[in-house]
This record gives sequence, structure tokens and C-alpha cells, in this order.
Amino acid sequence: MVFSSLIFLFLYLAVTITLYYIVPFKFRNLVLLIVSLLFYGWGEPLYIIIMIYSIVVAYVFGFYIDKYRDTDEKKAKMFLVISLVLNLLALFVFKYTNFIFDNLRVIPLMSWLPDTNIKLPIGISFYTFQIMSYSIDLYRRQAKRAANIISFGTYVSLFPQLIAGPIVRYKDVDDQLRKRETNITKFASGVQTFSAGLFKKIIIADSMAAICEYMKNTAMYETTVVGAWMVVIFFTFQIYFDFSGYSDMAIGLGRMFGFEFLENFNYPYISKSITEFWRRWHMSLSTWFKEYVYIPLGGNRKGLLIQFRNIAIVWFITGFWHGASWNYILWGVYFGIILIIEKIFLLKFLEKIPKVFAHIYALFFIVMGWWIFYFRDLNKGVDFLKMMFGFSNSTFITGGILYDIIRFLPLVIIAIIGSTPFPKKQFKMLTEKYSVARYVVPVGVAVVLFVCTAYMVNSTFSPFLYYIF
Amino acid sequence: MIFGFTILFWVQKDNNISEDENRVLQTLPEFSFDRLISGDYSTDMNDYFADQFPFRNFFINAKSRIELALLKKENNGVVLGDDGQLAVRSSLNRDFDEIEIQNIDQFDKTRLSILLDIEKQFDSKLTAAGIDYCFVMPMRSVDIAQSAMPAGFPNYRSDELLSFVREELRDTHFLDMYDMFREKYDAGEYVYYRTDHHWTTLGAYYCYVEIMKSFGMEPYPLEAFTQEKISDSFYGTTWSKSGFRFVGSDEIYYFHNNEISDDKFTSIVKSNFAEINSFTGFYNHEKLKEKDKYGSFMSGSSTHISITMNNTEGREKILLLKDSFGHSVAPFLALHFDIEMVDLDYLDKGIQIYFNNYNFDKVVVIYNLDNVISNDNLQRLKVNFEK
Repeated sequence: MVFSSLIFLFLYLAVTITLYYIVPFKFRNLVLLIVSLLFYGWGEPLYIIIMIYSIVVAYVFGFYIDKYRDTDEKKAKMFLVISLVLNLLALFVFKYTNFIFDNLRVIPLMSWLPDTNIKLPIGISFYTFQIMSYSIDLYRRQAKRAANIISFGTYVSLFPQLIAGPIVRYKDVDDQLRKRETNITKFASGVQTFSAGLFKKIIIADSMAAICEYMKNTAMYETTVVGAWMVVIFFTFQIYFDFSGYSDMAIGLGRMFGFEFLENFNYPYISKSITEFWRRWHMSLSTWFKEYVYIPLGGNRKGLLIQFRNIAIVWFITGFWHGASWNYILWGVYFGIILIIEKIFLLKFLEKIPKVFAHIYALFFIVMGWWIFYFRDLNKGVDFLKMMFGFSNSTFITGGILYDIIRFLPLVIIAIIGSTPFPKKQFKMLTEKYSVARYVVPVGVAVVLFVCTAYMVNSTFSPFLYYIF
Repeated sequence: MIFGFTILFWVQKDNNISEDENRVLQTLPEFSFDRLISGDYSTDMNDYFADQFPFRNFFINAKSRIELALLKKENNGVVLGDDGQLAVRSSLNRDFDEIEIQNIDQFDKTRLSILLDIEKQFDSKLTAAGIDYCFVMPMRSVDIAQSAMPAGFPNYRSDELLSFVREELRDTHFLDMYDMFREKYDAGEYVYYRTDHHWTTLGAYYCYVEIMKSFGMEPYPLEAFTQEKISDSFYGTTWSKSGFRFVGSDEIYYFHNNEISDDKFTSIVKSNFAEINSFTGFYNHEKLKEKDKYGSFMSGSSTHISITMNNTEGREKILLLKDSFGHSVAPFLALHFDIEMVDLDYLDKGIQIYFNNYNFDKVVVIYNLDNVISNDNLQRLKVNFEK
């Protein structure tokens, strides 16, 4: 099931909220667990088994890690490693087998490898990492053992963040699973955040996606420099509003049930360097890698050379985590290299030049990064690159492309403003200053929901132009 | 608000068919454990929820207004031009989460060349066999109504496509009516519908005039017809697609010849050359009660319809290979010829069998430009005269 669908909003959510608040406190985790499994199983009835397998493995081994962590550290570590391996195994098998086999098969000796077509279970990258954070946090004595398997299962499968994050570390919600407060203010705040996220996803991200697709097709027919750039720029907007919109919805939903999740995005496009960008983009992922890979490898405490090695490893894995395809790995390595260069000397240089140039520098490399990310087919990507820099018999711009760009301008302006902290600051200031905001905000939320509903209904509208049968 | 809609959803009666969208809507899906496991049940349930949502049309209209407020000038790939003129600009194919959007001016030159070559060979074969031939390719709204398009609209793309076609079809029996139609539209004549992709009866009349002239024959002048307005609330295909519910409606006219009345003709719907249905004249008035009122011309699409004049022998026989644009032209041609009207989209066995069963004096192909660039049915124009 998807948040941005009519059935989720108007059936599932309504029922879930009702059930949650009717039921006494001690059954609330159970309710969440059941509805979350239903949510997941709705789209993937069979893959639920994999998730349950991972939950059970981590819970059982977690029991032993907890038992031995104070008395027999070696044993505790052994259980930790087995638990992590079993969890990662599921992730590897379902996500990376096709890729690994496809690449190995090129070697003549390995040509017998079958052509697998294993489907990727939704959310497996996210929940596997969440599960691993439990095992590791438990071992490090940063968290208490889960109260029972229901509570743990709820943590893993909680539908707000199951599909697309944020990746919630166990130690951050440990307490909240046992006890959390719900009140009308929190609930209303959750609704506001959720609506903002819904707006980002449906009105901005989905529109950008359609425009991006349209410009890509047009570029094949009318190759222009501007048109090619538009594809990548619109994708830049699309992915931010899609992902951060989803994160907002997740955080808003969590708050409606009394959970406080950490923010996942902090206006990444206002960054003045790539280093800063990665402290603002998908923060839960970079935190996870920092805590569980970078720091254990030594971080920056073992000298410059080791630090660069660690950065390289982390970024290779980051890219690979995003998808089983070479362009994702390339994307990760690309940022790894830039980060290393920045650490060596570039950051100091950027601090000395006027801010606007630093912004331009950062945005340029961010957008080029998305170019790598967007074109999974590297050949097509290179074709587009040539178009972007004028190397393929392309004109600069045509009347048609200009017409389209002008049409999209209002949406682009909304997207640019939405990428900055400005709207949120204004909202905060206005609601704090004017008490009438208490009445205006709910109306605003209703309007936003209305607009989003209209768009969602339209996207299911598919007229068949000529004949019925 | 959310709770309100949830209750409303379950309370209101389900609709079976969406007239606006021209398709059957999903009704409450059947539950079974198997279907739940396979994922079919949830897919259908998603569709059910979407299709039966309360005030669906209201929301669709609202979204179109919002898109216009954002100055996008179009919605769902349909441009809103001056005076409520709608024109399809891009087509959208949705496959789960994948969207494929195609600008209608994107055409594969090689493919189009191949199709037009087939048509040219058809042309030569007919000419060699002594059969008069005429190839009509009606243009799209976006080609004809260029003057109504928003400022800066890339009309040059449609001109490029037309130039390409003209070049390919030079010195053939291609009937180039593009300039004529554009001039008439710009002069304010009602030649194409505003809310539908077809030409009006007046547009069909002009086409008829050109066809007759190409055969060296005399068409009836416009004054020879009485124009009967049979509907002023026609909302056509582009209206449906666009979501612009507030746009004004079209009018439909039937042109009745003053000397020869419609009921002197019989239209026989045939399957495998056997009659399965017939009606007097050219129109099915029942269809006027439905949304797709254009379907009243020749009662909409059938694979094969024979049109003859009662108690009249010795008229020339025409093979009219067509898509729906031909339905409004047939009543004019029927004044002069007996017609075997065959649909190029619904053909299943090729057109050779028609040549085997009838002796044609003339052949006319009416196949809309949009169809030509988006499907391959033009390659059905294959015939063999060796006996």
C-alpha cells in the first residue's frame, strides 16, 4: 500500500486511527503490529514471510546478546555476528543476487549461472538496517532488550517508516515503545506534518516526475541543451520532494500515534558544499553508516589515509545500498571522491569565497550526481551528457521547449521556495504571533487534503479514447 | 473530513460504467484466500476504491482548474485554447507506477516512411487496375486550430510533420486539405469540434467536396442541404480526457439533402458478408442519448457496413476504408455511390477479401493522422489483382 493513495487515506488510516484510540494502552503496540503487517502484506502478501523471518531471528539472537553482553563478551559478539549475517543474508539474496549473477556470468567460467529474476521485497533495505541497529545497539549497551516480540515486531514493521524510512535506530525509540504520550496537540501536529508531506509528494513530486518523463521523450525528438538540462533539474526536484515528502508523512503518522521520529531531511539544496549536503540529505542513512560502519572502522581517529579509506568504503556501500546497479555504485563513489577532495583542501577554499559561488558549486555537483543516479542505462546517460554540454548536434533551445519551460515556471518557483526553510519559518512566526492561527491552520490543512485528493482521483482517471471493448 | 468521505464511500451506490471515461468501472471485488495471496484482491480493491470514490467527477474538474491556476495551460495532455477549443497534445500511458508520456508530434520518421510507402504501393496498384483512388488523412485538432493555441505554442512541430508527409506523398492521390481547413478554421467556420477530436459535419462536407473534385465529379453545393441541429450538448472525447468539465459544449448537425431524403438509403451491418443488422438512412438516434453522440453517425464503428440506395441499380461502387472520421463523410458519398464501408481498425482478415467479393469503381481511404502515426494499421492496405 502507498501513503499517497485513496485507499490508504480514506479507508486504512481512518480504521487504524479509530482502532488505536479505542483500544487500551497495553494493546496499542499489538494493534500497530497487526495493521502494519496488513499494510505491508497488502502489496506483497508472500514477502511478509521474509520480514517475519528477519524479525524472529533478530529477536531470538537479541535475547542471547543481552544475556551474555555483561558476562561473556565473546559469546555475545558471536551471537551478534550470526544475527547480522542472517539478516544481511536475506537482504543480499533478495536484492543483490540478480546483479551479482549478471556480472559474474560474463566470466566464461561462470556462464552456467542461472538468469535469476528475484523480485525485490519492498522496504527490505530499510527494515533490515533497522533490525541490525537493534542487534548492534543492544550489544553496545545503548539499548535495553525489547520487552516482548510484539514490541520488537512493532518497531520493525511500523507502517509509517517501513517502506521508505526514516531509518529509526532502536535506541531512539526504545523508550517510546514502552511508553508514549498521545494528546490532541501532538495528533494535530502530526496531521499537519503528514499533510505537508502529502502535498510535497502529490502536487510537486508527481508533477515533476511527469514533466521529467515528458522532457526526456521530447529530448529524443528535439535535442537541445536546455531540454537535456531540464530533465536532470526536474529530476532533482522530483527526488527531493518525493523522498522528503514521504519522510514527512512518516514522521507525521508516527506523531499521530505518539512516536517522535528524527527528521530525515534538513533543506539539503541550500547547502554550500557536498559535505554539508550529506549532513542534510537522508540524514537517517548517513547517521546509520557513520555509527555502524565509519566509526567502527576507525573514523577519522587513525590518521588521514585510514580516514580516506573509510570514506571510500562507506560511500561505496552507500551507493550500493541504493540499488543493485552500477550507476548507483558510481553515484556513491562519485560523492566519496568529492568528499575526500573537500576534506583535503576544498572546504577551506569554499569558506573564503562568497557564499553564492559555494551554492552554485554545490548545486552543480548535486545535480550532476542526480544525473548519474537517474540514468540506470549508462549509455543513455552518456547520450544525455553530450546533449547537456552541447556535444551532440543539439541546438541550444527551441520554441517548443521554451513554451514548456514557461508553463512549468510557477511550479518550479513553488519547488524552489519549498526547498528552503523560508515557508516553515514563516509558518512558525505567523502561528506564534497570531492566535487566530488556531482556526486558520485546520482550514489550511483541509484545503491541502482537498487539493491532494483531487490530484489522486485524477491519477486514477484513465479515459479510453475511442471504443469501449 | 476523512471520516466523512470514508462513510460516504461505502454508503453510495456503485457505478458500473463511466460514460466519461468510456470504460467499465471496477465494482466490489470478490474475496477469496487465493486472490488475497496472489495480490489480485488488493489490486482490485485499490481500483475499486479509486473508481467508486464519491464526487469523482467533481474532483477531476477541481484538479483541472488547479492545473490551469498554475498556468500550465493544459491538463492530462489536453491543451485549453481560445473559445474553449481543446486539443490533445500528449498521450499518457500508465502502467502501475511507470508513466509514459508522449508528445503527439513525436513520430518515428522511419516507421512513418514505411507505412506511407505501403500506401503508395496500394495507390499504384489501384491506379494500374483502373480504379479511381483518393487518400484522405484528416488532421488533428492541434494542426487545424493552431490559431487558438496559447501564445508560444510550438505549432512548428505540426508543420514539420505535415511537410514530411507532403514530401513523402508528392505526386500521389493524397488529398492535401490541410491549408484549406486551417483557413476555414481561422475564418471562424465550425469545421472541427471543440470538445471532440473529430471534424464537424461541415468539415466532413468540405472533405466530400474535395473527394468529388479529385474524381472529376460535381459535388452538391452547400445550399442543397438542410442543416438540422440535432444536439447542442455534445461533450466529446477530448472533453473527457481533459478533465475540464466547465468548457462549453459542441453542436451536432445532420445535413439532409433537399432532393434525396435519408430514408431512401439502407445501411446494412455485415459480418462475414452476411447481414446481422440494418437501419434506414445513416443515423442512429438512440446514440444521441449517450455521451458519445458522434457515434450516431453510421451508428458508430462496425467492421463492415454496406450502404445502398433503395430500388436503384447501376450506381458506381466505392470501397471506403476508414476510421471514425469516415462516418460523417459516408452520408455525402452515399448520395452518389453505393458504399462498402470497411473499418481499418477492426479488420481481422485483410482487405483482399473485399476486392474478391465486389467490383469497385473507386476506393477512398479516410484515416486520421493521429492513427497513422500511432498504430500500424495502414499496412493493411495490401491488395493483389493477379487473377
